[in-house]
Amino acid sequence: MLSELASFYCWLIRFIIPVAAVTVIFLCAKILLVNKKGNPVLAEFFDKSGTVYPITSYENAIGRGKQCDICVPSKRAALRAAALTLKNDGWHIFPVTSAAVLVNGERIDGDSLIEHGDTINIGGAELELDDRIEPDIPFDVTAELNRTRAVCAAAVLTAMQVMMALSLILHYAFIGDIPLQIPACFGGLIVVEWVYLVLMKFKKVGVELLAFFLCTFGLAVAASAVPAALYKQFIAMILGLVLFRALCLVLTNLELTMKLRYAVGICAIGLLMFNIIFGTEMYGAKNWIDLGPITVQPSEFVKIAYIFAGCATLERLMTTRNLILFTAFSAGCFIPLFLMRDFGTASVFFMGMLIIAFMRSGDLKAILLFIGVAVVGIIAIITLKPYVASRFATFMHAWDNPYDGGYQQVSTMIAIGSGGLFGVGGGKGNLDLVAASDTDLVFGFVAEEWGLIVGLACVAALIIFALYAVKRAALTYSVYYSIAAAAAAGMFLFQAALNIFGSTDLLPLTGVTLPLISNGGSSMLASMGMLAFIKSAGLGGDAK
Amino acid sequence: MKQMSIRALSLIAFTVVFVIGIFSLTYLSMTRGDDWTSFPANRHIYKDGVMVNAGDITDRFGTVLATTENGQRIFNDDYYTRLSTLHAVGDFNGFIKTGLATAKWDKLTGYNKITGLYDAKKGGNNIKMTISADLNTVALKALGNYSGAVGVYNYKTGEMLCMVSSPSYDPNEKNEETDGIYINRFLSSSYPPGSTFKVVTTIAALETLPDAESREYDCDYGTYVDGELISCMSKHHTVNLRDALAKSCNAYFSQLAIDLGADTMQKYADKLGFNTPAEIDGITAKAGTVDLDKIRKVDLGWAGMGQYTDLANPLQYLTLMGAIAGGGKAAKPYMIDSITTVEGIEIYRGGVSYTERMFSESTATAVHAMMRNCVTSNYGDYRFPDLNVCAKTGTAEVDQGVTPHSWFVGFVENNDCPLAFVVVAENAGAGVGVARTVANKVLQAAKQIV
Repeated sequence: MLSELASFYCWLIRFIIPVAAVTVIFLCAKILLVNKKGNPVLAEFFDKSGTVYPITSYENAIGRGKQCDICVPSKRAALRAAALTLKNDGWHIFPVTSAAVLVNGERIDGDSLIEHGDTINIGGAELELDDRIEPDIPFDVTAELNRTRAVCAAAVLTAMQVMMALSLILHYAFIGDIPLQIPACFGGLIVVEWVYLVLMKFKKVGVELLAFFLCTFGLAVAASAVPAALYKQFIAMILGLVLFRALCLVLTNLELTMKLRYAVGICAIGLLMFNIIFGTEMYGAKNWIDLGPITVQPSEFVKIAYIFAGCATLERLMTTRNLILFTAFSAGCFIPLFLMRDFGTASVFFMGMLIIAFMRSGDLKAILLFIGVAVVGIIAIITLKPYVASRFATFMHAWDNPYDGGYQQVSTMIAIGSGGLFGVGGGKGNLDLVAASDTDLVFGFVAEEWGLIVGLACVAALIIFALYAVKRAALTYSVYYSIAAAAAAGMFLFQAALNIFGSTDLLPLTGVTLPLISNGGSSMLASMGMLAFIKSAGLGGDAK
Repeated sequence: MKQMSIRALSLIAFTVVFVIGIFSLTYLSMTRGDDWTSFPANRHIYKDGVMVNAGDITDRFGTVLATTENGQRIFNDDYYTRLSTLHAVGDFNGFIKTGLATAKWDKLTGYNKITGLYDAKKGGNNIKMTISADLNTVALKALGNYSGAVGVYNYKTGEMLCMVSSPSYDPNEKNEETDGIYINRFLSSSYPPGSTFKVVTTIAALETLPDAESREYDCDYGTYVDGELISCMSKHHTVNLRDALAKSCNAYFSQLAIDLGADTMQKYADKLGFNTPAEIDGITAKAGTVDLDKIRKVDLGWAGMGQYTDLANPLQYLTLMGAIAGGGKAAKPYMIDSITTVEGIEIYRGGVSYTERMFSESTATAVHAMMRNCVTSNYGDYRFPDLNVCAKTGTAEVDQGVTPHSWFVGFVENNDCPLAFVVVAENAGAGVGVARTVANKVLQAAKQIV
């Protein structure tokens, strides 16, 4: 009787969990992507005719061009004449061309603080600053609604987590002992989740909710594949959350962020060099460092550093209009990765580089040049080192070598097919018998045990990150946040593409992780860190 | 800040590419998911390359033909039952593509694209077939050492009672000989039809020529077409359609086909099922072929009596016999009686369904009578005790110096015993020989179980 009840439960939740997953995704999409009112006005310029120029961002381009945030009505002004930036001591103006910018009638030749009542003159247009306006915070009807949505999403998510944990426990109860890690870690995740959300008062927590959602499947995969490793994965999640909060706090202080950039950049390259010299080879790539009880993958953390150091503020964008330093920095990251033969991570970095370069320069030619160099580089590597190409020999031919070269891909496709839309149930999949199933093949793992719908919901979470970064691109307080969020979301998505399509033979199998889901401490910590950049896209509007 | 919204579109571009990839993967998993899942490395259903997590296959009387015991797939313990039902049931390793074990693996394991293999854990579904294992054994033994196929079905209900392909092998033994042994000749072969094709020409004539039944042609050990001889076994003198069919006069049917013309012949061949693969329970058979495009006159003559490049498939022919017996349209043959879950819930039941109308009821009545006449006037009604068989023989020439294939096709004119049949024995000589004998043995046994 009890076992019949249990199997009925396992049968039933197969249909409830996809519904819950889609609900959480839907609510988070609403929170993150539904249009809100514009940002509050921080200060404003006005001219003699009484026309008002509202300032809504910490960083503003001033000039004649329509792409400027403050369009001056003068034909003599430069297209992009100056940058207006809010710093700790007030508004700063910075001329970016040789054309004169006057403050109270005097020409300035560098960064100048302007105060209330000061007038600036750009190409003959006179504007007076008023930074003592009543902060006009638009009444955001969606804010209250979004908190309700967040509470609902959290409740559904928790219900889903409980159901999943119970089905995994029942699975193990049928075959032997129940690993204590499962109730402990799922329970722990639920507690951490609610403590965090309550502390945040459920305000603007869409990004975190999606992260918890993805982490849940990470735990479920680990619980099915290697229950013994669950604590490790759970601790990585907690540490990741701490790292996430810490990075969020640093990013909120843009001046501090700018000061830390160079140090972080040098550390990143240094860490990779250290890795080359002292690294350990695992799974065909020398990208691990053995610290005794644990091994870490420094290249994962360098992703965070890369974005942190690679992005720039508007001021820099408008003054330093080349990418020489950034390109050199990128090369400094690529070369060690290639030497370590970690081509998957290298290509993820390359994607990040393309996004950052384009967001910084808007220069399509530079992007094409980068891609051209990359193609030449790949051809050179394949010609000079044929063994590299042989690693990808089974690409598109997995079914021709189903028992050797294509075994992982074939097993993943079998798993996806066997799972159908609703999965065979937690713990009941067979993919765990294949190497790297909980990391490189994790999409197949989720699809087999929880069904394709749930697998696609996880993918949707990553797509929402990208759409959120795009939607917020012009609304953040600083260009830095816009670039960082786009780069992080793009790297997530690219990593997901390599992971999912690699394991299903639509791309070469490179062995990168699926962000926030794949089992592995370094990957989990780094992914949570990257999440801070996506979260920073929310810095703007009513979040100060 | 503003320009960021445009530059961020680069990320949108990549997102679009990614989403296209995800759609492709989803599409692939929906269209090819069954191929992926049925791959023998799938531990959900296979053990050492043998599909073990599958339900039972039984015959119409519940005789278990294949089942799983203690994680091993086993067949019926009778040697002849294993041999005679092999091609219908299928083998361990998926060599016999049209066998249920392979063609209906999804039904046997409970797989479908929506719920995946969730139901396979319980042991899948059981399939009950309409065939009789004993009748199959009679047919296989009757074929003796000849290669060939035998099919018998109830032309009123559509149930296949017998489907045998020879040569067969014992699936419990390691099979050494592989030459053509994995082919179910009833479904996956096509043979020159020989004189059995005269039935097709007859139908075409009855449907298109008002004077078809009274039409006469001369036969002097054959006839000359454009200076080439189309030979006949004997001198039939002046014959009409009815006698020509009974005597299987080559001269008559070659001249008739030429007079009907290639277009009409092609049209009726297509209508009667040639050039379209027949299907049974969703399992596709090999198509029979008739191609009269740009044909020489003399070749049209040969084609009209089942030589030239004509090829017929046994299942398609069985359906044609069903259509003649059924008044112009046939009950479609089926062999899956029912599918039930391990809990005993029936999830599928086979039943009668009909083909499109192939020809008029009056044509059916006329051909029916002529085929009855073939038996009474020529093949010997006494050879089929208590059966009232209507039939047509075929002696299909294959190659120079090779014994022709022996055909016997037809049906039983009896409302209580509505059986249609096709027998083909390879290189067995005249249709009035081996095939006719096999047909009687099988029909006598089949009569007992209808």
